[in-house]
Amino acid sequence: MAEQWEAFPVITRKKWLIATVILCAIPLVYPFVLPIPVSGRTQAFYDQLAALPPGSVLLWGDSAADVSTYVNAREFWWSLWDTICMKEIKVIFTPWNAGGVLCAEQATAERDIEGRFGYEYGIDYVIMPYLTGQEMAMASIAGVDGFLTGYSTDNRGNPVGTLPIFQEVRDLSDVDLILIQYSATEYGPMMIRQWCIKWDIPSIVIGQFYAVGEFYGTYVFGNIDKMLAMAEFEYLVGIPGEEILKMTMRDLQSLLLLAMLFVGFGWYSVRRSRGGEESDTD
Amino acid sequence: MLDDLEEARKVTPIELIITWFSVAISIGHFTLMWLGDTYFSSFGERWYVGATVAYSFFVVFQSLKANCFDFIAAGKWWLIIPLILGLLSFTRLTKYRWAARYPVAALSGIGLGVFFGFNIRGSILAIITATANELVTLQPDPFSAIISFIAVVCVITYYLYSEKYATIFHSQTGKLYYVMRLGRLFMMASFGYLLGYVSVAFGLEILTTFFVVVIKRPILELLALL
Repeated sequence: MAEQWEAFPVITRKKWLIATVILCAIPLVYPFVLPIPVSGRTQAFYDQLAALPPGSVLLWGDSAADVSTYVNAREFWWSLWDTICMKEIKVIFTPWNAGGVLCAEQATAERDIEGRFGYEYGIDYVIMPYLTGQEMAMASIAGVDGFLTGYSTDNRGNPVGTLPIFQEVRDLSDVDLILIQYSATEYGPMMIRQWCIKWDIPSIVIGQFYAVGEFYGTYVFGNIDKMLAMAEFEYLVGIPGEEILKMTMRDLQSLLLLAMLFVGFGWYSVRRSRGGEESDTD
Repeated sequence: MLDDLEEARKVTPIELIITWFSVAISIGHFTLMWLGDTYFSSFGERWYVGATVAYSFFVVFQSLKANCFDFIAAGKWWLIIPLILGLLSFTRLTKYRWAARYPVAALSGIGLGVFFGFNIRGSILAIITATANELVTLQPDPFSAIISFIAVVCVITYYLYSEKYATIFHSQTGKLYYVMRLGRLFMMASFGYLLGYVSVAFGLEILTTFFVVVIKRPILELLALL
């Protein structure tokens, strides 16, 4: 890669990097929000949650890769937990990786959902332990009385038979909506296959759209795809978080990138129309 | 409500010590970029690897306990069979490595069985039905319905490998050669969109996340302490 930009030789790679860093720093020092139009898939994600009556059951399958996923986007998690709790939706959290357990315990503790929303562990929400075995383990809890036969205890060591939530929610036939979260893309289709298709339950997804795009409109009815959609969600539910700030920073970076692209194209077109030397990219 | 939240989020002295220790080993790890491989950076690296392995081991043990050992203790003795089958994987480290083929065979067979039926239903039949429905009802709009139907048909022709039936699509003199070419264009547009979206999104998000997580949060939390 050239050290200097042909279109504007005074701008070097180093200066470009410095400009990008300064642009990122501006919203940190002077926070401001650029307009965030809410996309159809984010709106649909929210609408699915909003349509659930109080007392509905949400099965949350989480396979976000590691704890850093939560650390990087914790304020989105908070806005999501707040939205769920404000709707009085019951949550069964099932992690499909080692870090998911920690993320759920930390998010619920940091948002203090028991103190702020009156949620009771074991009645309104429950966090299950990590099950190894990927798709086969997902299939194991998708049978009749699957929650009772697939797990022996919850993540805190309580036998599942003693938890009040599992007296009324015995298997997936008692679940109203499935929330699928993943970063390793093969996990999304796994949960859709074993849960949504088997029991014909609608789902909403937090993860890259292309992994579940084939199911959109048939089994998936809403999608939060990376930071942009997280910012849209925070904006939509009125619980602003860091993702909105990050989007402002990203928009400024994109502006610089697009400006440089336009200048580069313009310079190349003018040079070519004047019969100048063609560049290596020709 | 916000006061309650602030109260709940107050850190204990132990948590504070752990946090500062984490800060120290994180800074140590970062010094690798400027100072090279030193005792300080190696200390951070080994702590990270060690803690990750220890945590993962603990969680996997909890998982085995929850869906295997507890059930065996409760009287489901037949679960010893899959447990033994799983343990056979470790024979790969011994001279009886042939025994490790049994868990692999079981995993492959059961995995395929679990996957196959629902995959046909969800990834093939449901999509054919949805595409046909969209064409008939012209949903979500007439242009999208027609263009997606054309794209589906053209892309399928690209993957016809039969010499007898696919020559008209793949041979340059074939009557339907341009149908396959159109399918290739649809695929290139799709892959280009994905690559652009994923690459740009990832590239730009790394820097913003670094600023917010590594710079903004610690500064605000340090200011809150003062």
